[in-house]
Amino acid sequence: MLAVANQPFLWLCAIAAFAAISLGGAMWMIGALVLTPLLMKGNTALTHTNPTLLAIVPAAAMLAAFFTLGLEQFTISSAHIFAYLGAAGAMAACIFISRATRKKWVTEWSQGISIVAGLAVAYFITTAH
Amino acid sequence: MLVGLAISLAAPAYLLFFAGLGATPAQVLTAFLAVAGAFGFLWMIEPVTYFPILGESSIYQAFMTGNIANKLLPAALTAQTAIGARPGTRRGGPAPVSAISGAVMVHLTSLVLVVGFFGTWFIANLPPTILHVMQVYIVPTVFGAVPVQALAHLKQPRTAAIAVLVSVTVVFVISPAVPAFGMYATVAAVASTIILAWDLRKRRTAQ
Repeated sequence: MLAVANQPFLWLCAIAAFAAISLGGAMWMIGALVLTPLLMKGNTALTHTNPTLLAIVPAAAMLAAFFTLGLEQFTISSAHIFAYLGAAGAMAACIFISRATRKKWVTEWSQGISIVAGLAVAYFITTAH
Repeated sequence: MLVGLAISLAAPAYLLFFAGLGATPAQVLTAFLAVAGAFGFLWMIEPVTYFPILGESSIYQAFMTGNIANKLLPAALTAQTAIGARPGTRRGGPAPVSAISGAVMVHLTSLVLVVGFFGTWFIANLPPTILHVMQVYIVPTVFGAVPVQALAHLKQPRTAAIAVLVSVTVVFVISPAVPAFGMYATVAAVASTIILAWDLRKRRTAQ
């Protein structure tokens, strides 16, 4: 900090960068503020023409977003793939146990359980060799 | 949301206009353009990508909070699964709102406790291998668990199959071939899956 404080030019750069980053963050909010009403209009117009859209569009968007983000992890390293599969397997087990025993809390905690399980798999994979 | 916007801009505005440090609007504009060059397209694309999932009420919350794909979407999905509400239905609307509120509260509480209260003590006392595993592999575990839950919850095998095919094509065929395409991968996959799932939906045969 002292080194920076003694050099007015560096201060200036820091402030300009801080202002730019804050403005950049604000643009996300502005984007959502401007686009949401437009998207709502399109949404109501479409659902008036066909209510089946309501079932398909959110499901398609959700599945595509998660599969794309997940598969991108596959390109990083093989341990990432094992972590991914470990968590996926744990989630499948959670859903199965929850349905078989009719215990709702297993579903509610499934996300956390799967993350810990996936991390455990990654831990054993990376420390094994 | 406008209040949130005003607060987030208040600190730089104070430094710029009242602290008398002499940064000019032109310098800020230059820096802003640099940020816009890196993230500008995301400002438009992210609201469009996540709107069909989050819906009207929670999208405002989500864009004030951040960490949408890795924190808020999984929370919203878990909440909808727990009460058995499909996205896009009337029951599905309030679930993400309360899930996002819950996620924000947990996040802030743990931030205050772990960072604010314990400081670096907590991090320093974790075994380095465990810390490393947590930092590197938390993202794939989140994205590994969520699709399985989404599959079980949504029960739309046809849409799911299309989503898998599209994502595989986008991630393993298009992205490696066109490196600049990487940033647009999610929105491209979402848009083409919506269109394909709609085109190839199960139609009742007219009798």
